[in-house]
Amino acid sequence: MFRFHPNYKFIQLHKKLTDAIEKGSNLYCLKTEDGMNIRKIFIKILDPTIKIEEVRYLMAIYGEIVDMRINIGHERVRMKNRGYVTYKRCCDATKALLSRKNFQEYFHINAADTWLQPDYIGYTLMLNVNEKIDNNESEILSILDDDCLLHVMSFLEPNDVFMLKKVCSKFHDLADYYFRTIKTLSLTTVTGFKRMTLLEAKLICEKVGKNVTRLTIDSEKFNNQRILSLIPKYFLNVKHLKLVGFRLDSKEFWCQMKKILLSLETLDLSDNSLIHESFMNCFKKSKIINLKSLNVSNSNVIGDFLENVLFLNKLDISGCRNINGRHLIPYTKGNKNLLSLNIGRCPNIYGRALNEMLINAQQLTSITLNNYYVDEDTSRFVIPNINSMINLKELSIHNLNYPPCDQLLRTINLNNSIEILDISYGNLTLTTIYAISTMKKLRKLIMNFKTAVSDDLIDYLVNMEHLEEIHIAGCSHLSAENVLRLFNIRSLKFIDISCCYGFTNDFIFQAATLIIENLPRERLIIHVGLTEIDHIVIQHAVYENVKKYIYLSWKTAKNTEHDYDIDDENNKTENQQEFMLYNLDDIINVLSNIDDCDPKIVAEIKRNL
Amino acid sequence: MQTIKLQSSDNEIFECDLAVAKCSATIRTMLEDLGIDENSEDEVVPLPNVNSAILRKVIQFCTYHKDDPVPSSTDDDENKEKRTDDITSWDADFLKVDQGTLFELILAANYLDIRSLLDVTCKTVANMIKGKTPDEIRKTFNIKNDFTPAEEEQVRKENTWCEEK
Repeated sequence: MFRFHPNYKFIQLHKKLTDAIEKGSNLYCLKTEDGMNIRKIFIKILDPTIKIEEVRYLMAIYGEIVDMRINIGHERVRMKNRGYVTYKRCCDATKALLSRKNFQEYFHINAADTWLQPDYIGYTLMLNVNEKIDNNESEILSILDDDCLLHVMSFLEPNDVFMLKKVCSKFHDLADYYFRTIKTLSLTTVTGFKRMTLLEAKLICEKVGKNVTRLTIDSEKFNNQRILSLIPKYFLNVKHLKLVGFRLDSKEFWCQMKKILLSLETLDLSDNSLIHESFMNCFKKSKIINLKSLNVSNSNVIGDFLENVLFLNKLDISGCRNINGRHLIPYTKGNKNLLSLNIGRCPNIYGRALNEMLINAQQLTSITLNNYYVDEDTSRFVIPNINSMINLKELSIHNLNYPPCDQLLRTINLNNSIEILDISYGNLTLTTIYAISTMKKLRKLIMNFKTAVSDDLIDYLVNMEHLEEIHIAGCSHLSAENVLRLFNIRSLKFIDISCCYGFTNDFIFQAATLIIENLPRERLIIHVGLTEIDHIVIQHAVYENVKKYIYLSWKTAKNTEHDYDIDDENNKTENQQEFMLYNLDDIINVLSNIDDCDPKIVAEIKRNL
Repeated sequence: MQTIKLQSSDNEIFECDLAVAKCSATIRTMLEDLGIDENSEDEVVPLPNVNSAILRKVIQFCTYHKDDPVPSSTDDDENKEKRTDDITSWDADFLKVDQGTLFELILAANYLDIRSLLDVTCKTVANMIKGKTPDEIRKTFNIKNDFTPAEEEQVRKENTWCEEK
């Protein structure tokens, strides 16, 4: 059982570290974000009564100090009570950093930035001596003007721009300018598997925050909830906020967010399992009337909350267990501005409530339902209500293997103006195929992970004039020859055949021939993740001919059918336990607490894993 | 097929397809606004900012890409993906040139307003920067660290104290 103790890895690492450090090895030294050994440590004095000699004494416990400078009572306010200590050996600096909890009452310490590491300065000096210096002017700076350099920067991630900023004074100024122009920031697109440290994120937020209007943060890139505390601090003008996969259960966070919420236009909190009730209180007390779109899917939001958001245009409460019909009926009565509603996978909404709700919400242009609540009986009176929605353009019914959705679609109005239809999951029946054939205006058909997909469907689809997108990821009983016929549709811009069985490189070659025969046409994007199609295709001569017209991507459609399978989710988080992905802060936090094993910290680490 | 004559900065004259030349928004507007007659054989479009070596490369690029579908203008910058790994093999081969030529191409693409060439060249440079430390970037582009100690201190100050709780 001991092997699976949550702290097992840390205890092991801690032992390894202390052993190595005792021997004076540099192997396990802490490093800065760009890989320099840390010898210099910053200090901020918290207790104004402490003397410099006392600081020196405390710090010298860990090893020989070569330099120390602290401005106590200095006139310049900015640097007051701050300074740094440089150790002779980096292992000593590591030891001191690991023990920072010991003197946290007196002063706060942290690793100094790369610029001030003695190794860094030595390294650059060494470079200057050893490298043959080319005296020619750098071509990138002499040829390119600022316009072009900024365009190059627009393809870089913020952390790369930070590195560029340290290169020379020209890039330093340009990077500052570039940061001021960033309006959309997504801390999720950092390439590769590298996680962003809090330090990197903070630097970016500090620089660009003020101008950003659209912000996305995904917990996958951070193993730390503390990134959230940066939002109320730096992003004062954000209008569109999206947070993915965090636990938003801290009261303080929502208190700080109040001001930001007032100016938000869209807020997307999907898949943030726990949202603290103070979030809902924010809406009770203050007038958050700018908000137009709210997504709280798969969260613990309670139904009473709805009466405070009567001004929304778009509401997504899919997968919310705590919302039932009793709350939703008055909501649809009270909010006549609502255009888009998603109540898919809500287990506590039943047929009668749905019926009444639909009578109230005839102005909807988009609705997502599923048959947790549409049973055979209710579907009979639900469909006339859907048919009378003259503005309805988007209809999603996630069909989970029961007939009622068929029932629903059977009586669909022949004059419907549905442009987007999502009927993912379940069996594809003849009734459904017939319903699809009535949708003359259909632009986008989503039917991922459908079983028993028959060829009849394709017969109808090839005759549709407006069809632009087809999602048939993970569909079974789908024959490649038949899918090929879809490539005759000239308006088609996107097709997703990921997770499908029986599609080989040959399929792409045949598709290429059809595309050439059907020119002119739109550029077509094809998703082929998890099929037998491999990257060799794009080197083939046949592909080379059509690559102007098609774009292959190995992306894979996400199967969300098993959202309720909680065990499954737990497995996922366990797989993510990869110690190497830990950042410096967490290692320090964990290791300096391991002896007294503060249960709170341990809980936090477990959560962050 | 209609052709057009382009004159480089070193006075070399290139004759190329009108469709190829029209990949450049700058040439397009020149023809429309300045009323240069497309049909007259003797008319030469002067391009004083592009030398012959670069112009030859640009024409080669545009000839290959002249039938490309025009990217829909509805993709505004908000949704623009910062992908740099989508350079096709032909483009990658085409851009296997020394740094000087690459930068000249960027400059020419910017001046001639050829979006696809500008993007693909800038992506290539971006790929040379990605994931590198400041020192590695300096080495890649032969850039001197011209920060004075005072400036270096300033940069450092901007980047310190990230961890106050």
